[in-house]
Amino acid sequence: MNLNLKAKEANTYDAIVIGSGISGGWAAKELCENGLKTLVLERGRMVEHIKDYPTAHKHPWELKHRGAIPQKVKEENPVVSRCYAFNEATEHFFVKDKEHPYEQKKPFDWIRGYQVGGKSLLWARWTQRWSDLDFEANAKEGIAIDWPIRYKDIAPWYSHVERFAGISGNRDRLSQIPDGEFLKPMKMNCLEKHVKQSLRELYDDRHLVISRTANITERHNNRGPCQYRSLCERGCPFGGYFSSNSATLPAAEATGNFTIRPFSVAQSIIYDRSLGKATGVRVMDTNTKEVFEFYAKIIFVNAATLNSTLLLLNSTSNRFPNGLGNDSSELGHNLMDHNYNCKVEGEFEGMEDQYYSGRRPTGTYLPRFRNFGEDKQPHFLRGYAYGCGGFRPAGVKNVTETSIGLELKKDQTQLGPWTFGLGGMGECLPYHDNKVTLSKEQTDDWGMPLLEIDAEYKENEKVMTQDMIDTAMEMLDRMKFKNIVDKKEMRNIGLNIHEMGTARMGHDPKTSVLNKHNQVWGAENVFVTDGACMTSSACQNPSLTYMALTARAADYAISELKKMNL
Amino acid sequence: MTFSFMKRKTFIKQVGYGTGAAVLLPSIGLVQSCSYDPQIRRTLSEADIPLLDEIGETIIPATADAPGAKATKIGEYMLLMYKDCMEEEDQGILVSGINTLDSKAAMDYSESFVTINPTNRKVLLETVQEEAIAYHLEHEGEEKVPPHYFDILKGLTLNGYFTSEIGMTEARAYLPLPGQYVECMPYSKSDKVWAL
Repeated sequence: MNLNLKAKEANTYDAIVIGSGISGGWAAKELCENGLKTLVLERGRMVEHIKDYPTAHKHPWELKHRGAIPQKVKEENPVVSRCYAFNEATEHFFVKDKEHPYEQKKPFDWIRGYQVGGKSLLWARWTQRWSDLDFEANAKEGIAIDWPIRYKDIAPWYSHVERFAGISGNRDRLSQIPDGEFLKPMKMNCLEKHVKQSLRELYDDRHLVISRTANITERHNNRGPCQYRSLCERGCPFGGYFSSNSATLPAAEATGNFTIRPFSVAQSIIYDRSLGKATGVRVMDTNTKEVFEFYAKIIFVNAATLNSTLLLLNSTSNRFPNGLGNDSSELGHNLMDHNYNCKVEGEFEGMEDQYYSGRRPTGTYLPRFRNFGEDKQPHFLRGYAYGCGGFRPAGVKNVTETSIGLELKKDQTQLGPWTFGLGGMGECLPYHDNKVTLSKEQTDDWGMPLLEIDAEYKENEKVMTQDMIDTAMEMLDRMKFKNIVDKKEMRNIGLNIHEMGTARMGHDPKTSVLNKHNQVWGAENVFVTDGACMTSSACQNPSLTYMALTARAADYAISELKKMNL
Repeated sequence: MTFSFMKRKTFIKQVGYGTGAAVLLPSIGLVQSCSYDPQIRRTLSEADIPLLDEIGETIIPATADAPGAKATKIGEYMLLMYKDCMEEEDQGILVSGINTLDSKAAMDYSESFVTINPTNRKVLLETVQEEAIAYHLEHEGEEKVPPHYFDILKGLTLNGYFTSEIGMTEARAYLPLPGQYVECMPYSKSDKVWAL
């Protein structure tokens, strides 16, 4: 009895955070800095900033296959092999499909990073804010359910996370991507400046800006600045970009309140019906397969969208037979991604005497103009942005393709024409029948049911795709670009790695899983603040919003704890 | 059968064109090449590295500015990529393509591609490149056209060369640590392009 009590005491913290990726890192930092003894559970291995970036300084010729992934690895892991960032220098930060299987009812590419820091090591670092155009859309159009928050609720928390993370950007005064707390912006090259000017002359609603980016242009919080190598996904030895490893986890650790336990898969959240709240987390050690219980007053679920929902679905009790907080039966539903199936390029005639130097780890951004302001689209809802870039590669296409020998060598060591590319980034609507469920037959090596994913792009996404392509080509044409090509980008849903929804926020426990503070309805000391909480997807890259929602929820949790409400 | 017939035809053609001393030199080559009998490969191996080196060097030759593909051990790279990083279908196309190229060299010059002179190597590969271009024109608009073996050889050469230390630091200019982004800077045709 005494021994058990002691063991329980040793396993008791003020807070538990499940997951150490981009949102879990924020939960850990905010909770630790407010004096809570916090345990972070991470299913993967430890990755220490700088020390565990083994490829960070490697030149291309120092990689055995010069960066290419061997065919055998591709065949065993077709899903992750389709990810743009998966290569010989980064593969150790990605989950191999073969090792962590899941079921696809329809093709869905699920890209994962199981290690301390999660996918924050690998993210694309684009950080546009959302606006009320996004938070109000569901309510205005009668789609799904209303967001329980508005821009004013999250704006101070955007500022809070931007100040710490370090976001470079320009104050562009565009209401669809509100300005934030920016470090000086990265620069547009000659062609991008030209395109910005041309679009301004040809259209009223097309504003090309430098993407707001979590790469720091000046020294910030003892990190960076960015060295313009553009090798971010290997882990940055200069701390040039924001990740859990470089920023939030060290800050949490510095408080003395932080404990991290790698190799720990959360199996379920323990719910006490008499208390009406969760008391802890059941965990399997991935090395020993031993099962432990850890206890805390509050629990933050930040396992990354689909694993957070998997954990809730697997946390069954008499009170919640279909998963924690699932009175609405919406848990697992309304899965979204973005739609990037548009890639268009054109060549520019002119500025032949201009070039650039350095590898800028971001691009330019053409914010949403569809179904916004004066624009009204008859055939689809919402809109899209474009990720854009001007670049100048070696070689002139028809010489490159038809020559060998001296001519080819000369061609490949001299510049060709400037090229401008636009990649569409479309919003996806939340559909009830885009969903995940748990396999009734199969479990993984850690006792968890396999996740079954059943999702697809539907009519609104398909119609929007065509408009993204047509509009990109039309803009390039009007700007007098030549050799305009549709690169026929064709990605499965999931591959944009913006999977979100499945435990949405809402006003009402009958139609949502989380309330306006990201608390699980019926288990209010459990907070879900990663992508699972999203009620719609907007078209901006989502991580900044996850971070802001996490910091906001942590602040609320702390104040409620102080009031003895949790 | 067809093969020995073609060789004979080449022989007649060369003798017919030659006069005096000029006949003597090619005929020496010819005598030697009679022992050159292209073997049909089922796979690529270390033994093919000299051949792959010369193919690479023909595509990206040495110049005053920078060594060519052979100096970057392009043959070794191509073999590694063939073994480790190529789809089975492409492996098959490449192997049968190398066999074809070998036969062409034997037909046209009665020698191995490795021993014919650089000018003739280039002529031969240009012919193959034209074939590849014609092949793609013929299949234009079709979905998933398999590559021509020349596309694979050229792609491997360009990729291998420009990711090698020589290709990146001598043929192009490499900044491992740029430290800054200069958004506009003047460029003239004599300037090198960045390696990445």
